[in-house]
Amino acid sequence: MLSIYLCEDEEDIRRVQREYLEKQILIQGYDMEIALCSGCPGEILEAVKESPGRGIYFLDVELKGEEMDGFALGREIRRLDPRGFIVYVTAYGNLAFETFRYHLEALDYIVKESREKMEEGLSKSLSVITERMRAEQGESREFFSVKVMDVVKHVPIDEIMFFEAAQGTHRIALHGVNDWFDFIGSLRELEGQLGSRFLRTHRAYLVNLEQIAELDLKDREIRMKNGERCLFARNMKGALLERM
Amino acid sequence: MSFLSVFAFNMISSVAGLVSAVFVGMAVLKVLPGGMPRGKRRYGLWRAASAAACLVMVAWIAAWLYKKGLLRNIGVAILVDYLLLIGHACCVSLLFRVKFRKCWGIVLFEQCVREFSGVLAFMGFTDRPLVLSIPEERRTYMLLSSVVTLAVFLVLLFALYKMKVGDAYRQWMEHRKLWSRGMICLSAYPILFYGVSGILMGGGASRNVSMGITVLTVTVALVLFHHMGMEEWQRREFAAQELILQQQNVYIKTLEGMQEEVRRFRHDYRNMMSGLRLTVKEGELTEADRFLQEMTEDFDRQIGGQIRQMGQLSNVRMTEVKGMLLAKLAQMQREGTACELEVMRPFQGTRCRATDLCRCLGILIDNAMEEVRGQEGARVHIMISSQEGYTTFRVKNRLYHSIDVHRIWQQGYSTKGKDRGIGLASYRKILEGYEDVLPATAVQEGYFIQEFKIQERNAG
Repeated sequence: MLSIYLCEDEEDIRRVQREYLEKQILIQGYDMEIALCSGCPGEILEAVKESPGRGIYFLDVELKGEEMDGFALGREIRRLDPRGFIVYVTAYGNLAFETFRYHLEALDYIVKESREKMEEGLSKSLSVITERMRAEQGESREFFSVKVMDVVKHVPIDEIMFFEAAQGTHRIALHGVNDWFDFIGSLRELEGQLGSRFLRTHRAYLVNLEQIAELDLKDREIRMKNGERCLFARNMKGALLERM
Repeated sequence: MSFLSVFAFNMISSVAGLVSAVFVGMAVLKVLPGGMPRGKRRYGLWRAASAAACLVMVAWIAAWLYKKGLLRNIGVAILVDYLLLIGHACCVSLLFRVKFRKCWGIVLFEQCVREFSGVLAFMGFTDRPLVLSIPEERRTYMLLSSVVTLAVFLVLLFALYKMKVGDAYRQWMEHRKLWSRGMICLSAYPILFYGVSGILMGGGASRNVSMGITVLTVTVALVLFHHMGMEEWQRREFAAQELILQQQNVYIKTLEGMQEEVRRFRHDYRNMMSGLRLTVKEGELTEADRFLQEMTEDFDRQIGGQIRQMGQLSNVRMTEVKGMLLAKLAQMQREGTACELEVMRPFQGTRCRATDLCRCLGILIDNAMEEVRGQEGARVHIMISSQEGYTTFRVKNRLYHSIDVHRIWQQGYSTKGKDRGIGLASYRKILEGYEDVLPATAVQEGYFIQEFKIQERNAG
C-alpha cells in the first residue's frame, strides 16, 4: 500500500484535495491511503521519517510563511524516499517544471487555477502512478545508477556499450545507445560492480560483452552493435574470444 | 670553489628561479592554473622526472662553463642565460602542461624582473665588481644575491601587480600578433643587457653607470611593451562594453514591447470588464465564471509568458551569459520558436571562463534551434540551475531526425547535411580543458538533451 502525503498551506484547498483523493481511492479501488495532510513541511518530513517506504507526495510549490519551499521539501523527501512519487501543486500555470523534474525526478505538476482542473490533475496523477507501478512489476530490466555531481543518472545495463577512461584524469565516459556522459570514477570499481557481463578489454575500456558486434583482430579493435569502436589489449584476445 | 659546490649553488638558484617563475605565473600573470593538474601518477612522475633532469642538465652545463672560465666571455654568458630561460620554460611547460609559448613569456617576465632586482640590489650597495676569492667579499656577494635581491624582487613584483602590469602582459601574451612581434624583442633582452653593459664597461664607464644605463634602456623597452599590451587590453575592454551596451538595448526594447502589450491589454480589459459587469447584473454566474477564466488565460497568453521569461532572465547575474541568452531569445522569437527558460535560483557565476561558457551554451542553443526551426510547435527548453555548489546547463529540444548519440561529436557530422557539425566538436574540445566540467548527451522520449555540469569550488 502506498501512503499519500499532502502539503498545502491553504486550509480550504487542502480539504478539497483530501476529500477528492479519498473519493478517488474509494471509487477506483487504488491500493493507497492518506497518511498525512498538513500545511507544515516539517510535519510531513517527520511523518516520512517515522514510516519509511515508498509514498506519493502532493506538494504545494509556494508555501507561505514556511522556511522551506516546495522545492526544498522535495529535496528532503527524495533523500528519505528515493523511489517515491512527487507531484507538485502550484497556483501558477508556468512553473519551472523542468528544474523540478531534473533535480527531484518529480512526476508531474497540477495547477490549482480552478477546482475542476485541480481535481482532474489529481485523478490523472493517481492513474499514472498506478500505471507505473504495474509496469514496474513486469519490468526485469536492470539499471546502472551513478552519481554525477548533484544528480543520480540511471541507464539500462543492456543499453550500455562500454565505459572509457579518459587519459590522465578520473573521468569515465559512459557510451550507451541513447546516452553519452562523463562521470568521476574508476574502471576497476566499475568492473567489480558490474560483474561478468563486462570485460576489461584494455587499460581504458570496460566493454559490455553482449553488445559486441565483431572483432577486428588485425587492428585489435572491437566494433559494437551501434557502430562505435573501442580497443582491446593483445593479452585480452584469448579471454575475449572465449567469453563472447 | 670546487665543481660540485658550483653545481650545487647553480642547482639551488635554478630551483629557486623555477619556484619564482611558477609564483609569477600564478599570482602576477595568472596564466598558470592554480594548482598542479591532477593526472595519472605514472604520467605525472615521468613529467616531473624530465623537468628535474632538465634542471640538473642546465645547472651542470653552467657549472662546467664556469669552471672552464668561459663565462667571462660575453657571448657564452648570453648563451647560458638563454639556456637557463629555455630550461625553466621547459620545466614549467612539463609540470603544468601549458604551451611552451606561454611558459617562455612567463619565464622571460620573471627573469627580467629578477635580473633587475639583482642589479638594483648590487647598485645600491657596491660600486665595483666584488672579488669572489676574498671570503668577506664573497659573503657580501652571497647576501646581496640572495636576501637583498629577493626582497627587492618581491617589492618589484608587488608594485607591478598593483600597477596591473601583469594583466597587461597577459593580454599581450594572448594576442598572437603582438606576441610574436614583442616576444622576439623581449627575448633579445639578455643580449641587450650584456651587450650594452659590455660596450659601456669597455668604454671605461664605471660599473654602476653602465648598469644604470643598461637598466634604463631595458626599462624603456619594457614600458613600450607594457604600453602595447595596455592598448590591446583597453581595446578589448571597449569591445566588451560595446557588447553590453548592445545587450542593454535589446533588453530595453523587450521591456518597451511588454509595456506596449500591457497598454493594449488594459484597453481590452476595460471592455471585458464592462461585459462582465453586464453578465453579473443579469445574474448569469456560470457565464461570469467562464468569462473570468478566459480573461486570466488571455493575460497569461499575452504577456504572462514574457513577464515570466524576463523574470527568469533576471536570475542570470552573469552579464555575458545574460546578453547571450537575450540575443538567442530574440532570434527565436523572430523564427517563431517558443523558448522556455528556467533559472529557478539566481545564477551568480561559475568557475568556467565567461567566454568559454557563452560559447558552449551558445553552441548547444544554436543546435537546438536548428533542429526545431520551421517545425510546427517548435520549442526549445533551456535550464540553468545552481544547486548546492553545482551548476547545470541543460538544453532540450524535440527530435525530428533520428540521431546517433555517439556520432554527433565527430567533426562534420550533422543531421542537416555537410559541414554543419563543427559546433559540437569545438564544444567538446572547450570542455575537455576543464577538469571539473562534465558533459552529457541523451536521447529521451523523443527529446534530444545536452547538458554540462560544473562543480564550483565550494561544492561538497
